[in-house]
Amino acid sequence: MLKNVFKKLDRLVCQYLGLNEKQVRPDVIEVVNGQIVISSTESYKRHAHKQGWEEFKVSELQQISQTDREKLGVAMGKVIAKKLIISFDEPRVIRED
Amino acid sequence: MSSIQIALEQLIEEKSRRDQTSFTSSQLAAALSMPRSIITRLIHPNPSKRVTNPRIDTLLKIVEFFRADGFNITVDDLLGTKAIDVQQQFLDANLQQNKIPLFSFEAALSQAVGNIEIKLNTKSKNIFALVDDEDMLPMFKKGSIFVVDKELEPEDDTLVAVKFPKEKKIRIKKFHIQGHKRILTSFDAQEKPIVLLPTLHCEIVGVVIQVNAKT
Repeated sequence: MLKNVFKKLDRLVCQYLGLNEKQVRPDVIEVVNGQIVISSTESYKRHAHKQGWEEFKVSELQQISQTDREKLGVAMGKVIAKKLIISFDEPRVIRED
Repeated sequence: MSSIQIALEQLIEEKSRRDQTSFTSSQLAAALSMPRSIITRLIHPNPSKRVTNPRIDTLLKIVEFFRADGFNITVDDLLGTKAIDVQQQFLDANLQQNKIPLFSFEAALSQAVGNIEIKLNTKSKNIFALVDDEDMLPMFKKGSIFVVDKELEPEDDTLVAVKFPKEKKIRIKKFHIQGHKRILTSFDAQEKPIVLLPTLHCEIVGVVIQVNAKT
């Protein structure tokens, strides 16, 4: 209840000040205990929050800009292995029947 | 294979080679004044018996010992922690659309299942793609596409496509160089590392240069 009120207030203040809505930017990527962890920053917030790859993929990956997705792929490749790039593009597959 | 295990084994081996005298995990434990079992459990070949979350004071003692002995290592090196700043990455402006043959992991390279049109930055003419027909946990979902360059020589820390004898299927492994040893590890820490011996007859088909990850 209180959370919703704050959310509305946040939106009204942002609208009044001409600020954009929440925007997540992936900041640092690392491997912790064999799992990929991404630290992201949010607009107008000073702290970064950490998410595992599985969680990030579901909640944030579709929301971030194309440039950030590409940069994330380059960084992700580097933490996984040398000379590796990760892409989130779906290539066109032409199957032979 | 955990990063601590790899890093520690590598350090012990490098020390032996540099000093031209055998240095063992027992000697390391004695030098650190700690029970031998602590070091043994850090590098145990059996994943179920291996400790992957050691105490910080154990790590600090190991790092201090090797630093005092002239090795330039940090706790992060031992833990294999590699943090990359996402916003500092440069995007490749030379990506070009390529049409390359697509194979399935299952059927190995016997017959292409089709072709893919994919953006890549490579001049190699010897590339192909593999489509994953099952999840490769914890990193890649079913349907991810692995682009393999047959011309690249595998280096330490590269991903490689490997064909094992008597197996039709191609597997993706991480390639490590530890002194004279060549080792293959899996994303799955429970799988035992494979030391490449001439008697094993496995074939490294190429180096994975791109993964189009299915999300």
